[in-house]
Amino acid sequence: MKAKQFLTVTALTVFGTLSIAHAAVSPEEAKQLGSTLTWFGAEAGASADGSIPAYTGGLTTPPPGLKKGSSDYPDPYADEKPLYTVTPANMAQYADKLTEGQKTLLKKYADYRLDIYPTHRTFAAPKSVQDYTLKNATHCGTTDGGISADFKTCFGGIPYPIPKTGYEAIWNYLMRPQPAARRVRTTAYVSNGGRATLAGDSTTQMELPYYDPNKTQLDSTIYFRAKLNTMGPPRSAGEQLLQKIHVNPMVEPQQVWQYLPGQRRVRQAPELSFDTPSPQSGGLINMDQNEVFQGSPERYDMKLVGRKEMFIPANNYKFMKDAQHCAAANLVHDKFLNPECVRWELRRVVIVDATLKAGKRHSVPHRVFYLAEDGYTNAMSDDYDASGALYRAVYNFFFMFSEVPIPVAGPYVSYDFSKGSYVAVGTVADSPDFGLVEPLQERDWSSDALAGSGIR
Amino acid sequence: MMNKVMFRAGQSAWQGMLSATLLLAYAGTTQALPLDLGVPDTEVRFDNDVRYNTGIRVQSRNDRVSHNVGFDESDYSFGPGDLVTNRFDLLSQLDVVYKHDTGVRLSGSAWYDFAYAGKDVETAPGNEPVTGLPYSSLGAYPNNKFTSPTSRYYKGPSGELLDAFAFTKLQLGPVPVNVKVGQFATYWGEALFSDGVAYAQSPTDGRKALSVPGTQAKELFLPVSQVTAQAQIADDLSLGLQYMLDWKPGRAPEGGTYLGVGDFLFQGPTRLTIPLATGFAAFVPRADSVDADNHGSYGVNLRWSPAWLGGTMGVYYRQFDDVNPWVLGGAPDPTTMLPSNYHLTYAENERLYGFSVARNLSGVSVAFETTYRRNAALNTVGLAPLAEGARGDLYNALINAIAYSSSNAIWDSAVTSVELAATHYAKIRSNESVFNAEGEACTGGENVGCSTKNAAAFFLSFSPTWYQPIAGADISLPVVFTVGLAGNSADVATSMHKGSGTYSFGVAADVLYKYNVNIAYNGYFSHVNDDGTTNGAPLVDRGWLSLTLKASF
Repeated sequence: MKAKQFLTVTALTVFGTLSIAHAAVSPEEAKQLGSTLTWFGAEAGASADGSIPAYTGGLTTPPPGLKKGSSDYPDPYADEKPLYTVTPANMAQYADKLTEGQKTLLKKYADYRLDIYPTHRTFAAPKSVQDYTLKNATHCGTTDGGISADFKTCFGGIPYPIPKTGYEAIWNYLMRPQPAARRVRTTAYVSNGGRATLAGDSTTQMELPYYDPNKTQLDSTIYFRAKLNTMGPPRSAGEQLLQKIHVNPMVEPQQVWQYLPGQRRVRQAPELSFDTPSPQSGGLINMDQNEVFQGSPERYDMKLVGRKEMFIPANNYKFMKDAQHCAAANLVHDKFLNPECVRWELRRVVIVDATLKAGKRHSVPHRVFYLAEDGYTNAMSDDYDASGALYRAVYNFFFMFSEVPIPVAGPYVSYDFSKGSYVAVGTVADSPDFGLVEPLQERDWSSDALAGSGIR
Repeated sequence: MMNKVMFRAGQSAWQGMLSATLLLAYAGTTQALPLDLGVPDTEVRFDNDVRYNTGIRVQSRNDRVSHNVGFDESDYSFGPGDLVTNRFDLLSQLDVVYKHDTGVRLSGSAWYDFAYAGKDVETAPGNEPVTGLPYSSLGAYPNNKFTSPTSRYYKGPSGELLDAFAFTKLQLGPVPVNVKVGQFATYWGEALFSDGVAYAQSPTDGRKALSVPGTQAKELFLPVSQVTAQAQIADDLSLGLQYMLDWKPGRAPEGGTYLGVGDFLFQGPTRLTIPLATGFAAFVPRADSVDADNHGSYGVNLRWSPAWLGGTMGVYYRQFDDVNPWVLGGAPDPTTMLPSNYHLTYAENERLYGFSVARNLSGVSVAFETTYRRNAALNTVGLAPLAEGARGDLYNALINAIAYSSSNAIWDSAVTSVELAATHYAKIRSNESVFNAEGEACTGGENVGCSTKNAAAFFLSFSPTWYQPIAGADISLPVVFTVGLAGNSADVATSMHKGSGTYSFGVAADVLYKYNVNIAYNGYFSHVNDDGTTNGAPLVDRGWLSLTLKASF
């Protein structure tokens, strides 16, 4: 083979297998969006027995009593009573609608329960997100052999409203519609050996340039960034973190800079990803279990299993905003979150089965993800260890800022069955600082600005 | 006599323990604060750390070191099995912040050490061999009683204000500028363990670093009055400025205390003993330090984080006064030719040019830093009768890395930090005649502390962690190891000594994110010469076991 020919072949092989972007669905197929499927790709119709209603456009009016500028957010469903309750006694009846994690909690704890409320398909998003989603359907490709989203071709909406692979479904979840900029004071609790302990208390500015209404495409490789200022526990107060998540985690892993109190300087942290335990979590959650799944899917084969009706947290106004009943002291029970505070609904979920790729290493080699069908607002997982035993189960929660309208996910909880412990991250019910804000100016996102603004 | 001493030690240990229990119990009942003053957009935080440290000397005395008249007071301060510290520290911090970026911060610390309660300076028993005089008559302190600088910082009760500054964020057109004015510490560059861009940028509290295991960085860098500004002049370009309004010396372990590195040093002792002959010793009195002035020190940096680099590079220029002293002598007495006094003198107007680059490589946080220090204070022959010691130019370079290891069969996670540092002296600019280096004024080679052209040192910290093996507690096994690999550095403090270093290993528990318990063995090593002098810290026999309890509330 001549040298030139060899080079061409090599180049073709390299670019062909690794980085040629693969196209999305055909315009023909995309026509389902807005007819049999909603604009975001959920089944538009009701379930067979009507317990999941047809989608009618979501919740787009402000809840009565909403005060502008207040971090309180009224629960539009405050007066609802559970339709029924799943308990250890009657769980067999609902077995096909329960994840393995839910079943394990019900078997383990006699007083655990799931209060099932009427299903309200509240998800909605601004017009621009709808338009971009429709465009993405036929334009948003993948790269890295289908593992990564190709962000030259996707922006501003759900990337793959008609997902064809497990990776595409996971990217829909990673890139789910969220506010372009928000600021929130959250707490994290670790409940270990039956005692809930404050592990973190911080204020975070979170931005998704991917959903920035002032942009028409990503102008950098960053699709998510956050600036976190630690208020507690006291020994951690003053620590700061700057986090940037890039569109192609295989090439650019997420970056974290730490502000070091006392030295008033900033240093990029070593890579925290995959199965590295998340700091301050008591070792109860790995980096890629944060928010159910975060980071790069590259170590897993991800199979799209299909859709199923299951119980999943939804419209969690009470959990997230009822300071009177669901502030931390009342929420974080010894063994599990106070069932009183957790609203479950029967919804269709998109199931993705993730198994460890040959030759890769991960302490959680098998995971099953249950992604909320409506807007990928939130998710659940069953995470298995190498022996095939259920190791952890992670849930996250959302409610609608219906006046925008945009869903806000935030808190998530991970139950560790090997230790009988759990960690609840991002709890906000009594947060004094919670809401949508203007994006920071670009210059405030530099790591040196973090050093300059450090106090402790 | 023996019984009385033991009783006293036992009693102070008991007092310490009792108070520790009470204070920690109190800490457990108070709520962490953000205070609500009812002023909108204002956040107030008041946090406290209470720390109790105790430690027992484990190693027996090295005869050569403990019978050197320059080291016997520290070496005899506590014997094997004695409590070498039994101390409380309180650190209080108050931040008042308006609209996230404007406000004031105050912090302060207070301490008391029962191990030094009612304690006098100890000396070696018997007679010093050269003079035949009792060691007790050759001490560095008047009447073998600690002077107030030593007793204030080692015994207490005492305290000091640390941070006291105001801060705000200005918007100059498109440029956000963070400004701080007041007393605080600043630290630039990427160095983790050794001297880099931040050399002498803040005086360090070497006493606390050595004697209070677990002291946080925020207490080690001593705050000094200054103004700093950081301007983000482009998305990826930052300009930093520091202008000093004051100067303070660094703090080093005082003579006669357990970890003192020379009985006659630094601010506490009042005289230096020089054995001359049978029946004769010379006593050179310590005179006031010649401090640096309070103005003229400043620094500027430019840090650039272009996307293609995936990290940050920086250039730095600083002009500053040193915080590490020369130990110089007064004019020689015409008859004895001995110095009329000794005193600490701090070099002014050193210059530093630096470059740094930092980024992650394969998930490891890696940084490189190099500096050129022009007209730097150099290692100088002790008691040189000059206004200044030797000065010259130093090149320093360091590379360091921080890595996380995820869970494996042994641990749940681990953090490793390593640093390799090297130094080289180039031009000698002044007072070469007293430059304490091989081929210059120093004879006897590396083992007696002569600086060499080049030197290198290595630093390691490794801490594997197990999450919650006991409910509510994360357990780790921190290890720290530092060693001079080659040569003795030429800087005034001789920060690197061949074959000299420290190590520490132990077990730490982090309980309920509020309490820390740390048990560690801390040891030191150096080459020991026949006369008991050492190349490096003379702490070769000072290995001790420490216990630290800390509560944050």
